[in-house]
Order: sequence, then C-alpha cells, then structure tokens
Amino acid sequence: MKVLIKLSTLLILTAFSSQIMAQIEVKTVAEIEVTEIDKQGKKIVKRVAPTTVVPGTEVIYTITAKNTGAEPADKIVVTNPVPKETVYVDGSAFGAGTVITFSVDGGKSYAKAEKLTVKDKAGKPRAATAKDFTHVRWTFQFNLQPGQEAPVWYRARVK
Amino acid sequence: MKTLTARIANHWLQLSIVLLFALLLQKPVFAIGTSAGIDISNTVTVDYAIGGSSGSATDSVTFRVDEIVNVNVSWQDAANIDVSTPDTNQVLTYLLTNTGNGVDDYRLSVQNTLAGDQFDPVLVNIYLDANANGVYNPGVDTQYIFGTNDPVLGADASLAIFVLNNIPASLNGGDLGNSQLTATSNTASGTPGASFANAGDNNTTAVVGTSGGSSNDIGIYEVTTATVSLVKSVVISDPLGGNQPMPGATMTYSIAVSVSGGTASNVVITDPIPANTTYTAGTLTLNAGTLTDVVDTDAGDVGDTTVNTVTVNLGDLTPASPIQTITFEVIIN
Repeated sequence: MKVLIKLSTLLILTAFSSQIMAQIEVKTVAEIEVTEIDKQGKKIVKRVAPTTVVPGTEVIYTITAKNTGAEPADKIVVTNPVPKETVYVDGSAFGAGTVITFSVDGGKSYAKAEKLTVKDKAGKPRAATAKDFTHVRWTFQFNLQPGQEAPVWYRARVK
Repeated sequence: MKTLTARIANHWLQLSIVLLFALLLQKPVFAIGTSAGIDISNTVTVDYAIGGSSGSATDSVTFRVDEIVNVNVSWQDAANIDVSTPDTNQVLTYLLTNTGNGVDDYRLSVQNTLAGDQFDPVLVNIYLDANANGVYNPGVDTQYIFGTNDPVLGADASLAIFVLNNIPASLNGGDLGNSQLTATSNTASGTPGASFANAGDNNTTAVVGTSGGSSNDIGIYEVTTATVSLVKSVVISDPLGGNQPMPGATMTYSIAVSVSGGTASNVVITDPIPANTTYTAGTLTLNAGTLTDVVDTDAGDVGDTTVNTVTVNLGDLTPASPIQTITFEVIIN
C-alpha cells in the first residue's frame, strides 16, 4: 500500500513538471515563395509548402513561440542554427520586439551582425558576412503572456 | 594520304593532352550545390523562464532537396581541326558535364547540316571516353549507341565525347565544316522551370534548369591544302671561262622546294635531264649533301628510278620545313 502511494505521488509530480515544460510551445515552419499571375495579369507572390526546392531556392523559416500556460514567460530566447546545407540570407531575420544576434563560431558566442568578425585565409580578422553566420538568435524584449504567440523568421538559401 | 592523316592525328593527340591537363587544373566556377534527395532539417530551440524556473522547447522541420537538371556541352579542341579532302575519321573532342545536382543520363546526337559553313562533314560514329583520358583511343573508347549506352554522370561529373566525321572530296583550301553535338537529359528537359514529379533522384521532383536540360556546341573542321613551290635556276659555265650555253658548257641546275598551306606528304621531285645534255655522274646533291646516282638508302637517284631523270624523295614537308635544295650538273652535247 505504501509503495502504491509513493508511486502515485511520483506520477503526479511527473505530470506536474511536464506541465511546466509545456508552458511555451515552439513551432517552426518552412515555406517557399512562388510567383503566380492572377486573372488581371498581376504577379502574386504566394508562400507555399516547400514542395519543390533546388539549390538556390530561398526558404523562409518562421518560428512561432506560444505561451500555452497560465503564467507569463520571460527571458525568452529563440536559437536557430542555420542548416549546414543552406546560407543565411543577408538582412532576412526579423522579430518584432526582439534583439537579433548571430554566431559565426557554431553557437559559442553571439553578437550583432555588424560586430562579428571572422579570420580570413591569412589569419587576419575581417567583417563577417551573411554566409559566415552559423546561428541566428532572437532575444525577446517582452514577456509572453498566457495565450500570446510571437513569430520570428529568417530566410536561408539552399546551397 | 595515310601519312598525312597520321601526322595530323599525332599533332592533335599532343594538343589534346595539353588540353586535358588544362581541364584537370581548372576548377568549376560554380559549386553545383546540395545533392538531390538530401534532407535539410531546421531545428529551433526556445529558452524561457516562468516564475524563476527555466525551461526550453524545440521543434524541427525537414524538407527534401529536389533535382535540378542542367547540362553543358563544350567543344574542347583549341583550334579548327585541319583536314584533307577527302579525309576519314577526323576527331572532334567535346566535354559533357552534368551541371545539375543529381545523377543523370544523356542522349547524344550530331547535326552536320548547319548553316554558316562550306561543307557538311559526314558522321561516322560518336565515342565515349571509356578510359577517361580525354583523348580518343581507337579500339579502347566505347562506341555510343543512342538510347542503349547513354552516358550516366553524377552531379558535377564530366566525360569526354568524341565525334568522328569523314570529310568529303573536292573541297577548297580554307573551307570550314561545322559539326554540332547535342546532349539532352533523359531525366527532364524543356522550358527552364518545368518540373516533373518523382522523376528526380530518390523520387524527388526534377526541375529543368537554365540549360533547358539540353546543351550543344559546334566543332569546326578546316580544309588545308598544301601548295608545293619549286624554283628552278641554272648556272652556266662554258669551256672558255664564260657563261655561254655552248657545247661542252656545264649547266648546274638548282631546284628549291618549299611548302605552304598545310602538310605535303611523300613529296617526290622528278626532273628529266634536258635534251641534248648529259648528266655528270656523281653531281646530285640534296641540301649540299651528295646523293648517289643509284637507288639505295639515300633520298635520290639519277636514271635508276626513271630513265634519264632525276628523282628525289623529300618525304613529308610542312610550311615549317626548311627549303629543300636539289642540285645536279649536265654538260651540253
């Protein structure tokens, strides 16, 4: 009987902790843009699922953080390694109310794009360019209220 | 004629080897890109705090890279291929490159009835560079058969293709003949941007690239006809110490031979001894070296090959050969 009580306590505790973990949900979606021409002959750029992607295609990654819990969440940081088969598209990262920083060293350190340097072939530091970026990071400057969701995004070109 | 063909072939063999090394050293300008069928995964992490305790969550999304179909055909010979008229099995060398991101195979065809040239080469066969040395090797390289052994190339891979044509007779020096090799992808071709579901590697969509999935290039033959020039002169030395053509006078004939416009093979100079004169035995020379009067290992004879005639075999001469000078003496009867 004692064992049973302990077991059920453990189960409750487990359930409780996983509920905390699920306070913020994150979802990432990949899309591409296709240009269609409507009946009036106007060009319409549509975002669609990446059904056809070849080298050179720009993929738009949208990352949405949502507070599914009952309490506000703070210190929200979204970190996204740029897939190694792609190159970050210069100036494409966006997130309202966030500070966007990048890494050029595999995620060890982050800084604003214009402050990053990498070493050239001769070992001398040079300004980093978009293709040097290994990670994108959005640091939220606001709290995410219960039920609130906030999207950020960037574009990557398939190598 | 055979000798001429062999010489030209050898000449181009050397050039082709140089060209091959140039190719090996040359890196592709554009990276072909991520291979078709590769999955690209984006994983995102969100870190946060609620009520002082931190948590994190992750999600990822994956898509598969489709196949872009691109091909390039490029004529490799450094200059027009010199040919005779008629001529046989003249080789044009092309390089076929898969500039797409998947494995592809190509059907090949040759078009010889093109505008802008003076004659149409006659296709013998197309050969695939079986030993991958960039040079046509008869009996080694594989004859191409349309639809049967269409060359298969991985992304960024290249293969030399040899087009052998015959050259018609009765052409003029300087005439050009164009021969066009076309390679078309069996995976997808047509309007750039057109896509074909499941046609690519790993059942990906095949998308026609900027090349339209097809590429061609033109190789050029140029007819070279050699012109052999002979300049004959005579110096007379009469018995009285003058230069009058009187009986007993010695006439020293000199024939200067040169070639322009191409290679002349097996050049043989024959010159009958003039009437009413007698050849002075032992006076035949070639480039200041004495030749015997009989047929033997040296280049000439007098009266042995043909009665009462000087015969000198000069072999193959090119415009680069030094002027060949033949001299002999006769005495006026």
